[in-house]
Amino acid sequence: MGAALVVARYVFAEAVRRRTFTVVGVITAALVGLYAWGAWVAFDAAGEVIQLRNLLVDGTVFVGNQLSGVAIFAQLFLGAVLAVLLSQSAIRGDAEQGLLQPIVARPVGRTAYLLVRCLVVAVFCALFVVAAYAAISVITGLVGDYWPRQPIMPAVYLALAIVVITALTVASSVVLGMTANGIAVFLIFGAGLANGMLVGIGETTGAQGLQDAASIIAWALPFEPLYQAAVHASAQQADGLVASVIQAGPFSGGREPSPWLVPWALTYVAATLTVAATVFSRRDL
Amino acid sequence: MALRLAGYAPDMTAALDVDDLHKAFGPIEALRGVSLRVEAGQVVGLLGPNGAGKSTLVKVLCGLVRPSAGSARVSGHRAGSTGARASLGYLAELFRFPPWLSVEEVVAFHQQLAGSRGGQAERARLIERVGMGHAASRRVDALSKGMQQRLGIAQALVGEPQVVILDEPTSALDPEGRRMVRELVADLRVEGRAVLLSSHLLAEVEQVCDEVVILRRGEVAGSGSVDGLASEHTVTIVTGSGTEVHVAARADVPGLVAGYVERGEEVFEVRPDVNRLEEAYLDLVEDR
Repeated sequence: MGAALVVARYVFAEAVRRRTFTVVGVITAALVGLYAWGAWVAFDAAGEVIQLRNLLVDGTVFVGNQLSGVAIFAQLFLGAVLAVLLSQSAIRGDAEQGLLQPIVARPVGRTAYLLVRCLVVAVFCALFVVAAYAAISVITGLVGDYWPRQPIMPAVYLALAIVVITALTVASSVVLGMTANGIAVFLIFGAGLANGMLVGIGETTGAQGLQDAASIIAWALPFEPLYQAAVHASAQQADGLVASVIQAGPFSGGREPSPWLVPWALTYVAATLTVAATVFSRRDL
Repeated sequence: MALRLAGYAPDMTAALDVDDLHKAFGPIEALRGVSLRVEAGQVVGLLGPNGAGKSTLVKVLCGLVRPSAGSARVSGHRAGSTGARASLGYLAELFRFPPWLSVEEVVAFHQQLAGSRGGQAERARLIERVGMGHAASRRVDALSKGMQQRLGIAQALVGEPQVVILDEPTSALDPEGRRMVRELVADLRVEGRAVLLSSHLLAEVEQVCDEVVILRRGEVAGSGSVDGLASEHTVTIVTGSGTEVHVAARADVPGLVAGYVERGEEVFEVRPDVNRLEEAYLDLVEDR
């Protein structure tokens, strides 16, 4: 446990020394400021009612849904970028550079080292998306009087999605070098998001085969349904045609999660890290 | 250090105890039945051409590579176990320290990993010992390669390990640094620590090591004391009828000369030529 804490402090100190926290904080503050300005302009322009062709839509609900949907997507994307950049070289990348060997030759368990590296990055990135989500939600509420339908759950889903991405990145870093791992995880991330769109197309067109295939992929890459669950929990309910219009947007509406999603995501993370730790413990460095 | 005999049982008291060690990377057999033993207070040199298996052997001992067969023990613990890693200090051939840490922070980090209670006093002593006292607060990315190697040696000595494994410790060092390493290894011997020194520099091994193991294609091609390996002498004798070269030990020289004198030869010159370690090494590793 002592050595695990030493490694945790080491990973944390690295992020501090490399000014990761400073850069992330400054850029996030700038983005949140930009979001506040955009939200003010959008709500002001929309007014109480928006006319979409011959359909009248509640301006607050429509703009709030669109804005919070885009914001949650941006938080997922930035959180994923952060998670990948901070952990893509965790094992093999560091070993190739000769950074890992002097550490694991010490009495530090390889499993503990892998888990601690994952934990520190996951906690940092999850806190980042939760803080950004909280700031965006407050701004959207104050500027447009649009508050998330469920204030806590979107943050939980987002944080868990980032934990899944971090676990995948650390796990694949056991076998892939830094660049290959970064590319692989971003491709998987993109595939997951594209699969989310396939689910929507399948539901709209009634193509059952497409829905089934997309559903299997969604369970295999649970960060995407978690993201959809975050959007869904954040979105205020709309009725009838308004709901259809909102649902048709690329970033709004979301999907109601299965009750098994969170337990499955936690199991997925545990299984992924168990496999990674097993492979790492047998790997020659 | 000794070659294995039949009926071998693990020696729980040896600092390093390797028995019939094999390691294969796919179809490539990097180690093929290597056995050696290093006792406390002994400095053993590990020699061999590129690809002989030296670094693989060192990595097995440090727990970085899993053996395919055979056993390797460090201070009685299975190589790679927590106990084994806790009792050894290791300087890798190719290594890097986090560039954002200072010299003192690197040593402090390894003190924490090793569970050393030496604190500031140990840090200062080790940094001074490797001649880095003036650069203790300098960041790693501002150090030359040689200074990083000195830092690597300092971290290998954190926690006063009973076994020290140095893989090419002088490869980037200047002459002053090489002398520092020789003196340091001599000090470790006096302190009763076991040292395994892997190096390409035969002269260096000859100066500091008690015994030598020479690897060739994953096998022990030769082993023994430095004096023993370099003990084969040739003696050049110049007489009135010509020059002859004899393979003989130093103790045989008077008898050889007496033989010439008994045969009525005039002996003008007797020149013993010591077969140094380099020649013994080349004899052992060259393709036969």
